[in-house]
Amino acid sequence: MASTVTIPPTLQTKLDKAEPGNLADVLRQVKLGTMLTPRKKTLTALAAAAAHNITDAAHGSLAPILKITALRVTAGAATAGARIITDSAALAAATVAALSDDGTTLTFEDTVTAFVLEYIPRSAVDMTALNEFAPTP
Amino acid sequence: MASTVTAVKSLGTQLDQADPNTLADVLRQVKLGTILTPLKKTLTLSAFGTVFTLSPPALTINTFRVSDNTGGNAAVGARFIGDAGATPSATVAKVSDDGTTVTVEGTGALAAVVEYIPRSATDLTAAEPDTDD
Repeated sequence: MASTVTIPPTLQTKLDKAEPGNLADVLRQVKLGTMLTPRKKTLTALAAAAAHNITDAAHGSLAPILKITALRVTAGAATAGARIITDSAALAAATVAALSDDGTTLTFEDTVTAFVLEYIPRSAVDMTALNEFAPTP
Repeated sequence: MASTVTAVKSLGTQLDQADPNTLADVLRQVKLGTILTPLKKTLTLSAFGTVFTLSPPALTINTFRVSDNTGGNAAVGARFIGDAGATPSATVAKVSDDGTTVTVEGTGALAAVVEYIPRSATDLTAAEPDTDD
């Protein structure tokens, strides 16, 4: 028996389809200009913690991370210096920091009060979430 | 003598030009939505080995971690990513130029976790047929 597969409307599928009728609206939600602009943030005088959510007010309400280009601890009990970035399931270490799946939280091996972060932000809206603002035919 | 340079018409040059008449068609080939959606995958080989295949290919790798080295001797843990000419080690994995494979050291591993941004579904640098009138 033949079956029909329905692809859920998400920003990802809509952007892949690139229909002229809603392309501008889709790009406006993604905030492509912001995504294509790399950021460098020097965060200081933070409350000592191993886990830092960069989207909260104490960290300047930064956009979540798509790709980290550089991360360096500058103050705290954790080792000062650059880090490799790993996924959320890994253990942080003196040379490794873990990034949460949603791109919001960096975890170090010990408490940190200052760090320098260079990164590319991710879409302002979850690309894989259902998005019905402009249903496609 | 004056010379004329003709730019190769590729998806990359057309995306840079962003001509409203062709932009939607160009974006449809690039599959921008897929490019802008980060992927996280656990890659498991049927038997331990050194080469992990990425599908779709990677534009850039955010994180790469050997998670299971059963049968092999590659170290468990996170890696820097080196280019195709790099020598894999306990701290370095190399990615192929076409973004399709990541290679680890020694006799390899059984599984790895990778987070990456996929590249365009169509080669952005390949010459496109000229369809202008």
